[in-house]
Amino acid sequence: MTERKPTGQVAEEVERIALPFLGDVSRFALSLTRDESEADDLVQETFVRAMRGWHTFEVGTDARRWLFTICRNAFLRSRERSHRLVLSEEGDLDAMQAVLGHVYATRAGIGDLFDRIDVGPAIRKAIDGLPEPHHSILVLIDVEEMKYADAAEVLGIPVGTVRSRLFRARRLVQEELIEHARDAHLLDGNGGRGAGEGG
Amino acid sequence: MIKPEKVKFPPDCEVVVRAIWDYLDGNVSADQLAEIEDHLAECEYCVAHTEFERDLIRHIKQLRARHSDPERLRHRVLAAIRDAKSE
Repeated sequence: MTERKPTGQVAEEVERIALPFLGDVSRFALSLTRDESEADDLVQETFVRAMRGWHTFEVGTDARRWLFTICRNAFLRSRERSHRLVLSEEGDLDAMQAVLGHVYATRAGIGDLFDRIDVGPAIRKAIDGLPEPHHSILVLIDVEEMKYADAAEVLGIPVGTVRSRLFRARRLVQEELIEHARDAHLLDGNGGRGAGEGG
Repeated sequence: MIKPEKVKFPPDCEVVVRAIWDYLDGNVSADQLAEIEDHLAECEYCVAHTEFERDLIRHIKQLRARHSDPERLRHRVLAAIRDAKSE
């Protein structure tokens, strides 16, 4: 935390240092709210809070990460979504699960799925359907390309938790994608639906 | 749901299967990297799994949302910053 600066200097620094990340914050806000009008309100709230809390920002550190933290906290407060899902934290098992899904789907003919259909809409739908906090983690790491440590700071959780929840989120997206392929009759028979469940 | 503990992967494959996303995210040690890449050089199944997961992550990365009117949003935020300044 640093000494409070004159308001004019704060506004100048916010415009010079924080505002270049408007696009990033806007994208992140949209991923949280999934509604552009609501996202715009959240973006405005983020920058106003950033200005009011500018004395807590250390110039020279990662402004984008700091803004994302403010944005997510503002979002959680607005939604009163402070609750957390209680899920197991076994990242490597989720990785195994995803590979198994691929194994069974491959047997049913999913091998060249990405070449056969435009998977974008299906993946978008799957991401939009992810529960929190998995949705935020996937967006921060895979869409915004943050490092695990930076995402952990934005979300206020340990790096190991970021890892395990990211893997869970990816597995859920993959399962939705395979389900989409099945619905589109791109898979034969029972492939990808967990053949071997009784194993 | 498939129960991973009830499915046996060959011991060599399990190294890759458990670490597949750590590997793709560049979060493995030099020793693990060497072990994984040695296995991938020999196992067509693990290569296929790895490519599928790599493609999945690549497609997720391509889904960056775009604001429909970024200039309008910029003006709105600038106005809010300047309003806050005059408070």
